[in-house]
Amino acid sequence: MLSLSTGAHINLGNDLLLPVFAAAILGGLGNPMGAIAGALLIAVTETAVTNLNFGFLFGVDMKFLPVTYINAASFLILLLALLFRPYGLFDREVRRV
Amino acid sequence: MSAAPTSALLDVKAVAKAFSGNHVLQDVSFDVAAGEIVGLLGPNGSGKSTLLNTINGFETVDRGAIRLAGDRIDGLPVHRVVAAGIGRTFQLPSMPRKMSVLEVAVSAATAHHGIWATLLRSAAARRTERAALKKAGQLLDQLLLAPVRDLPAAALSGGQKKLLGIVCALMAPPRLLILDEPTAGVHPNLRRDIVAALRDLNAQGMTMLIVEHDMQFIREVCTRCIVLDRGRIVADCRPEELVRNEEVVRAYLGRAEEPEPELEEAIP
Amino acid sequence: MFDFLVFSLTIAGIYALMALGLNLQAGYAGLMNFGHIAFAGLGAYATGIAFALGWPPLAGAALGVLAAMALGWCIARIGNKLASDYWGIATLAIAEILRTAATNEDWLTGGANGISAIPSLFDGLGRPWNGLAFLALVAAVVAACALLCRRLGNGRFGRALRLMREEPQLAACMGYDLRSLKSRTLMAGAAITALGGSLYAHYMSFVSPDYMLPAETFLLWTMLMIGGIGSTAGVLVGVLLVQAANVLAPFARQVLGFGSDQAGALRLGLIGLILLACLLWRSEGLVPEKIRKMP
Repeated sequence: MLSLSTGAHINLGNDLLLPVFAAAILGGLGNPMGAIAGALLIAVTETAVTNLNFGFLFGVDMKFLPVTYINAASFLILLLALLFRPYGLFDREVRRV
Repeated sequence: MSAAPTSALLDVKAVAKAFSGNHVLQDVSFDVAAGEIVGLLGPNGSGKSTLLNTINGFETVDRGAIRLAGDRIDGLPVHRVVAAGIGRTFQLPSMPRKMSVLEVAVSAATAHHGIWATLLRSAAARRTERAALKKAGQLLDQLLLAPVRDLPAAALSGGQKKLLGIVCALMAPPRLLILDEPTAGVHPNLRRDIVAALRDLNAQGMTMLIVEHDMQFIREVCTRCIVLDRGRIVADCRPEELVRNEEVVRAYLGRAEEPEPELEEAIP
Repeated sequence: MFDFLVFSLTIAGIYALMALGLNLQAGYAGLMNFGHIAFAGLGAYATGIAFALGWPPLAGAALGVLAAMALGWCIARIGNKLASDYWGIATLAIAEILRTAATNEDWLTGGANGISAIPSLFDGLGRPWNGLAFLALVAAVVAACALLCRRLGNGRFGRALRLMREEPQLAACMGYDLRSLKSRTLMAGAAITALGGSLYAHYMSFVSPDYMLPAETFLLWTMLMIGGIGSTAGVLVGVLLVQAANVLAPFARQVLGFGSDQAGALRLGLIGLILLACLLWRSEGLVPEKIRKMP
């Protein structure tokens, strides 16, 4: 479905590798609904963080986070989430012995 | 707050612990005096393992206090509780695959294990290594594990792993030794040896808290026994009195052998 | 040809340092660190930044080692609550954040172009002695670190790590502070790896964020798994084998008649094939960790 919107290329899978990992972990391993929620959260964060005007924080008209930080933003969300919820956001992962 | 003026080595007071609403321990209080061997009995699900875990530090208590020789140990991380003087064995001991029996025993010595000491191989480090090696060798001999010293620890039989667990707990040496079902699933000959070893240890002054199901073991070894049922202590007496009370005990122990009513309905 | 050999061996040595650092964490202690290259990146960038500030090479290396140890300590603190696979992704996330920061913060790291013209330590000697001198330096550092890792692994600290790796409950009951063991291991591995990163920066005279791609961490893991995770000799064997595959790939390409645009793929394919073969037939590596005999 992704190739329908962006076109298929060799690195299609590779580029998505890390955000996909992050989304799965965020939702908690073994929790499919959680993975969906995690993916949503990461996508929303990435979009919001790069489109929000942070100018008000610095007293200037326009200040945006560079687009190249987009991946770092989603990873930061992942880290913060894991700090507070070590088993994923929904805490319903399949606990292994 | 003054320390309790008892000579108790281990003092458990009003301990309560619940897991997700399931009250596994409710108002458990008892003490163990130095030199005693106390048996802990109770049907499955009575909270024995949880009690041991709270004393050991693997679980925290919701309420109550646990003291070792007057100092509070509940809430401390496991390694600090061990450093305070509690040694413990496990019911189903699991041993490393890539370490020999001797290596595991030597690891249990509690001398400092710093990076720099290992790297620089100072004289002090070498001395402690030699002492640990010697002590491990002695304990392994004492508990009949000398023939398997160089085998991988995971290759031992279940009974031998229990013995290795006891060796590891004794390397410290602890002030209180907690044993979790030391003879369960063990060959009768080995069981005899374990009983003899425990009696020897006690003669040398070791205090023990032993979880066991085997009534004969309790009668042979323990000076006192505590019966736990559904998170509460229902008996705290000498083994002989427990035998006289056996109707009561069998009622508790016997009930555990009947299948749960919910299960009976579930099985078509 | 001779230059090429010296170059390949030096690179192999630098990778060996990084792999030794990873072996300390993953091999001895069983810590699944998927962001390991961040330590090397910190070492390399510290060298580059120190050079830009006019500091001597040793100061750059020291700065790199300290920064890497600080990062190792932070990672250990996060790791306390996390299960090992979550922690692996967390370390990967941290490495990626650092790489993104390195790509974007031009004022500090030169951005995507990196820092260049770092002196190569032996430039004054002229060819071929400068290359040989660097190789000698790298070989000496690798030998020293390998010996230290071996001693660490066989001694009390190594026993504690191996016990923690296989039976953490038992280790805790023996009185080992698992948190402290983990953080010390991470810091020690980070220090060795940062040293490797610093040497790499000097050798290539150049630092760039591409040093910190996740593929580099996985390359190190590949070397470890092929050679034998948990044994020092295994690490060295793994590094040499993978580097040999790297070196032989261009020759294989000529022999097999592949086009030059497929050379990169051939290299990766060859390494992948070796890894697969090892996983199928020698799952513990070519030189597996053996049970140590006590005296």
